[in-house]
Amino acid sequence: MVKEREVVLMMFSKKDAERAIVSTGRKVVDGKILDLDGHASDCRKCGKHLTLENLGRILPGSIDLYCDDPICFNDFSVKLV
Amino acid sequence: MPPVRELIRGLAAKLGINIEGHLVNYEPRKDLKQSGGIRIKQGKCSVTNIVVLDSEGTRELLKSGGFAEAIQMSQSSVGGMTREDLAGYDLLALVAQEDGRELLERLQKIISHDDFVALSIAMTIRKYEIHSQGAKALDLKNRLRYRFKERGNRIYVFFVSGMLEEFMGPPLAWIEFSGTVTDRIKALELWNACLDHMDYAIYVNKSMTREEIVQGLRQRFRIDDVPVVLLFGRTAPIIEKIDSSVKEFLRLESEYQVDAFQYSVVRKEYSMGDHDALVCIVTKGKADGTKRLPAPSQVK
Repeated sequence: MVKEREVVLMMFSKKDAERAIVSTGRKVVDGKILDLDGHASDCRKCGKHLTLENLGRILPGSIDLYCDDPICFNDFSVKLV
Repeated sequence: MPPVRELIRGLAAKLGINIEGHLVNYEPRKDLKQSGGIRIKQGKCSVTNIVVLDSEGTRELLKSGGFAEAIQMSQSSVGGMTREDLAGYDLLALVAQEDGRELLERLQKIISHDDFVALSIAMTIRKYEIHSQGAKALDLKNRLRYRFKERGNRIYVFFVSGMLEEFMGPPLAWIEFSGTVTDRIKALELWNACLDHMDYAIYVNKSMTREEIVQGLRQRFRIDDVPVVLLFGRTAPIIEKIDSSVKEFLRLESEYQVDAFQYSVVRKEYSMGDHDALVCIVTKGKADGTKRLPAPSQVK
């Protein structure tokens, strides 16, 4: 049986980053992204504190945030194998 | 839950937005010459279709709120957001991964998560190289080295040189068939041995002659002055070739009157079904019996 999968990537621009974050229920204070419990959000892979400047991806998991380092994406993409 | 694309269409329809022109379908299964899409050699059992929603479309949808439900992952559908300047990389990484899916699926059950991620990055670097994007490939290679240190670099070399496919391909195919824990442990040992001793290893294939193997050993011990050399080989005739080459090398070395060394040889055989693999470890010592200690990174 052939396993079919569709991957939809929604591109966002830097100026829409705040709106994208707010849509996930998080907050933005002084450009820094805060989690639902008010703590600073970190990149799911490298642990870097996230700001509107360095936010790279919003990906499924339990809606995980990743920074703009390209290779942090691979940590997510291997879950699709 | 509906697939992401349908979900987005539904959201857009409620808002009265025509989303069609904003959804770019990369259709990776299609041939580049025919469709202008990206060509991926799909495995027999999987087809992945990549769809991109452009940033204008995303902006319109973001205005609607309640957008978080589109970020989802199920067996058949994955939805996520990526910054527009990173989308090119993400797309290429997915394409590279699809290209090597068969290999990745087999290795996933064996190697560590970090090694697995490093291999996925190595595949993306290879894609950049194939598309003549040297600067991007170099930048990514540096990032790989920075994040995964020397091991990441070795995984990259192991993959792009084709040795990963050639040397580990058949045992991995066997493991998929047998699936025993013992075979997986053996494959992991083999993977680790291949990476840990890559610097001065000799990977022996069918076309390599005995003379070349002996020459390789002499060069590494006499010119590169290394304490340990590993020989890797698969299938019975190659294993036999390695054994006879090592014997010949030891015979030639015993003829040295000055600057003579003693060598110890350890053979490690990995039998998985009807797939045999051999790792032969040759260690150099002084003729007076004092053994040269291998560097810590070379000790397993």
